[in-house]
Amino acid sequence: MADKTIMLACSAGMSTSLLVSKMQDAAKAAGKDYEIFATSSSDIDNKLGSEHPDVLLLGPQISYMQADVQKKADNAGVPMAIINMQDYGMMNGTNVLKAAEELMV
Amino acid sequence: MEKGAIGNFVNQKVLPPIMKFVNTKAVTALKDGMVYSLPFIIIGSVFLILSNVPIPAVADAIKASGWSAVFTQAYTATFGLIAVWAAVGIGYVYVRNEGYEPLPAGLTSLSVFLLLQFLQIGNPLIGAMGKAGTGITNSAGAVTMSGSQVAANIDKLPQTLQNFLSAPVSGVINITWLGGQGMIAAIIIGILVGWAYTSMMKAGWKITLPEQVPANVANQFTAMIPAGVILAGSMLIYAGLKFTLNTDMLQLIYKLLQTPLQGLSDSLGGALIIAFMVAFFWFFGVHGGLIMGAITSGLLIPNTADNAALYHAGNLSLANGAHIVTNEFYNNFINLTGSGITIGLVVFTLIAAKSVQFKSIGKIELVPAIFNINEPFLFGLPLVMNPFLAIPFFLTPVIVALSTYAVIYFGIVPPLNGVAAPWTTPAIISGFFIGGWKMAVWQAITLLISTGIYFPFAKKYDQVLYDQEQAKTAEKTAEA
Repeated sequence: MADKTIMLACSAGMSTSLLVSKMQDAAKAAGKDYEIFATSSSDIDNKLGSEHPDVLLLGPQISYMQADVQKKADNAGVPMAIINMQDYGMMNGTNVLKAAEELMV
Repeated sequence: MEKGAIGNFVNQKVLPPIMKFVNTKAVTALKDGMVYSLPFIIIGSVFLILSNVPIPAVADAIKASGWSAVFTQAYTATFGLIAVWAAVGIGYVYVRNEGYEPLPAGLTSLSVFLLLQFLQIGNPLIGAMGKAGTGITNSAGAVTMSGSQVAANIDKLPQTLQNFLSAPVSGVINITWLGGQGMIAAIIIGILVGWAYTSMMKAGWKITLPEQVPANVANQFTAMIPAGVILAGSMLIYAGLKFTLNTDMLQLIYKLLQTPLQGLSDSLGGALIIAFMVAFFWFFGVHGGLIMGAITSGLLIPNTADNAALYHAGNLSLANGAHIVTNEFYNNFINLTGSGITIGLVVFTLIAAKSVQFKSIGKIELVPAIFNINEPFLFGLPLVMNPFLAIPFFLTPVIVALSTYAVIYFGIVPPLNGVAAPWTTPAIISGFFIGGWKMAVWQAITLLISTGIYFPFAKKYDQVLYDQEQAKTAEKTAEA
C-alpha cells in the first residue's frame, strides 16, 4: 500500500496520464512510495469517493471547472490545485510532484 | 508575450458566460451521458464494416453466405440504438450529478422516450408495391417479385384484405427512431427527465417507509412518485399530440428541430465556425476540443448515424442526403494530431528546430501527436496566448475544414461513411476506416497542409527562442 495517493484529472485523462508516468519516475528517483493516477474530468466525483486521494491536481485546460471541482474536493476534504501551465507542457514530473507534496503536508 | 486588452476582454467578458453555459447541469449531463453510447458506436462500426465490406467481391461473398444479415443484426443492436443509450445515459448522469440514485431516472427516461413515439411501423408491403417499389427480395438480395407484380397480385384480393395488408403494423418498436433520427428527442427527454426527477426528489416527493423496512425494499419505492408523475405527464403529451395532430413527439422534434439543426451543423459555415472556435478556446488556455465537442456532438453524431445508415443500405452519396460534416469530420480532421492540427510543428522540430525549448518539447510531443494528443505543445511551447504561433494555430484548422469540405462537396473524395474511429486513432489509419483509401490519402494531404502553414511561423519563433537561449548562455559565460 502506497504512502500517499495523488490524483490528476484532465478532459479525458489522456494527456495527464503522460505526466503521471513522469511523476512516477520522479517519485521513484526520490525513493518515495506514491500511488499516482490520472482520470477524466467526468469521473472526478467517482474517483474521489472510491480512491480517497490525498491530493487532486487539475490539468490547466480544465481550469474553467475549478469552482465546481473545488466544491467537490472540499466536501471530500481533499486539497486541490491547478497544475502550472509550463510544467504541464514540459511534462516536468519533478516540479508537479513537488507541488503535490506541498499540498499534502 | 502580448497579454493586452484583447486577452483581458476575452478572459473576463467572453469566456465566463460560455463557461457558465458549458458547465450548466444540462450540458454536463449531455456531454457525460453521451459518453455511454461511444463503446456501442465504435463496436457497431466494426459490424457496419463487416456487413458492408468496401471490396465488392468480398461483400458479395458475405451476402451470399447469409452472414451479412447477422452483422446487420449486431449493428442494429449497437450503433443502431444510439438514441436509447443517449436517453438512458443523459437521464442517469443528470441525476447522478445531483447525488441521487441514478438508475431509476435513466430507466424512466427510456420509458418516456418509448412512450412518446407511436409503437408501430408502416406496412412493408407499401414500400414494396408499385413501379417505384422495392419488390420482394430474398436473403441474398435478388429480387424475386418486382414492385409492379406485387401490386398486381394485391389488387386481386378483396378490399377488406387489401386494407388490412396496408395498415401500419402495431405492437412493435420502430428501430428508425432508436438511432440517429431519434437523437435530439432522446437528448431533450434525457435532460428534462433528469431535471424533473431531481426537482421532485429535492422537494421531498417520495414515499418514506418506516425504518424497519429493509433498505432494498424501501429503495424500490423512492423512485415511484417522481417516475409516476413524469410518466403520467408524458402520457398526456402523447395523447394530446395523437388526438390533435395525429403525430407523435419524436416525429415532431425530428421535423421541427433536428432536421434544421443538422442542416446548420452540416453547412460550410458551421464547419468553419466549429474549426475556428476549437482554436479560439485553446488560445485562451481552455480545452476547446472538449467544449466544442460538448456543444456539437448532439448534432454531429446524428449526422454520422445518417451516413452510417446510408452506407449500410449501400447508397452513400451526397445526392441521397449524406452529410459532409459528421462527428468524424470533427474528431479526425479538425482535431487531427491534436487541436490546431499541430503535426506541422512536430515535422518542424524533427528537421529544422535549433532552440533547446523547441527540440525538447518536440521530443515529448512526438508520440502523443500520433495519437492526436498535443497538450505538450499547447502548454509547453506554448500555443496558449502565444502571438508568434497564433496565425497558423487559427488558420490551419479553418483551412483543413474548408478544403476537406470542398473535396467531399465536389466528389473528389466520397462522404464519410459513418464508421466511428476512436479520436485517438492515428492519422491515415483513421482516414481509412472512416472513408476508405481516398480519405486516408486526403488525411495525409491535410498533414502536409499543416506543415506548410506552420513551418514559416515556427521558424521565426524558433529563431527568437534560439537568440534568447544564446543570449543567456553568453551572459553565463561572461559571469564565469
